Amino acid sequence: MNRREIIASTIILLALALLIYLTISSFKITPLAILSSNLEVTIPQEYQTVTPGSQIWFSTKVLNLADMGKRDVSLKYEVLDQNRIPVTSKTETVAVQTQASFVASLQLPTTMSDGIYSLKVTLTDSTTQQTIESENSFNVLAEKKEDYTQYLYYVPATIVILLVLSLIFFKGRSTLEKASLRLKIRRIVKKKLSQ
Amino acid sequence: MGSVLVTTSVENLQNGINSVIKTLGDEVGIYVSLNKTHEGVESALAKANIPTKKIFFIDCVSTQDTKNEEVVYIKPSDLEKLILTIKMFIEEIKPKKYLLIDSLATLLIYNNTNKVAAFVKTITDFASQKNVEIVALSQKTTGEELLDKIFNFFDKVDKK
Repeated sequence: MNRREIIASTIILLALALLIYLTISSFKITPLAILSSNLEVTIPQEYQTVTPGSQIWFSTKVLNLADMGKRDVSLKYEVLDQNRIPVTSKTETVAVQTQASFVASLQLPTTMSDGIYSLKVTLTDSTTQQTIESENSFNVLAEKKEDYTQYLYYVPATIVILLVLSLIFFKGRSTLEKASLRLKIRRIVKKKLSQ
Repeated sequence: MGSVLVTTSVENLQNGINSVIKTLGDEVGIYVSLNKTHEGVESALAKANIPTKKIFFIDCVSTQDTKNEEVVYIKPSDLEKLILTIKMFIEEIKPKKYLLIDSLATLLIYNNTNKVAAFVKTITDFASQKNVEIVALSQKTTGEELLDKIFNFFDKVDKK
């Protein structure tokens, strides 16, 4: 091999090495910098108090991700009762990059009793299985069904009151008319007999 | 005198009224007019030189209530109010008084026979209790069924 051939080979080898390095590095698995990331769960005002069987909407924000490119994570949404027992849950896979915000909802069971519940969101890096969690709380309050039976008492009571008022009105009117007539007659008699 | 039912012909009705009032002239009268307006009655009495100063009129003919403040206007179909008015006059007039009804048969135009008979019974009973002389006039030719029913309510029946 002459000098020229050596230099060319070297260059080729170096290029190949670089190529290999770059290829390997693109597959390099970088942890999701979990500890430096923030996960925020926000429940809008209108969903702070919900009824059993309704849907609760909320948003999940992943902040301060290290710039590792776009990647998939799984988000697990759980509703926990006061004893930390899951009431309902849902998992979905989403793509995050640097910052990601997702809106999701959960259908609440109709059997939930009144009280304060936690919405727990767990983000798991699909590859490294590292997780971060965040929680927020909301109220469940069953809608009070209108008790219409009370109105059953109002109807007959109203009828009785109306009847009594009618009697008083007509009797009162008759009494007034009689009193008015007597006054008139008294006045006529007094005037005529005094003449 | 008590109570008297005078039955007479239509032509003699006014004469009958005049003679009753002349007879009872010293007393205060309550005149229930069912045939004429009170102006007509006063005019007829004035023609016969009968003063009306001591006569109180219950006008069942005139339709307006605003004509004369010294007259009470009652609808002939409202027998209840008519009874009430007569009673009130009887109670308010302290001196000796009489009640004259001209004429009973006219009430049949507005009321059925039984209602008129009941009216007559109520008035005669009340007048009797209050010691009021009552003279009811009726045309001979009308209301015979009524007359048959009310004859017994009166102390005397005078057929002229």
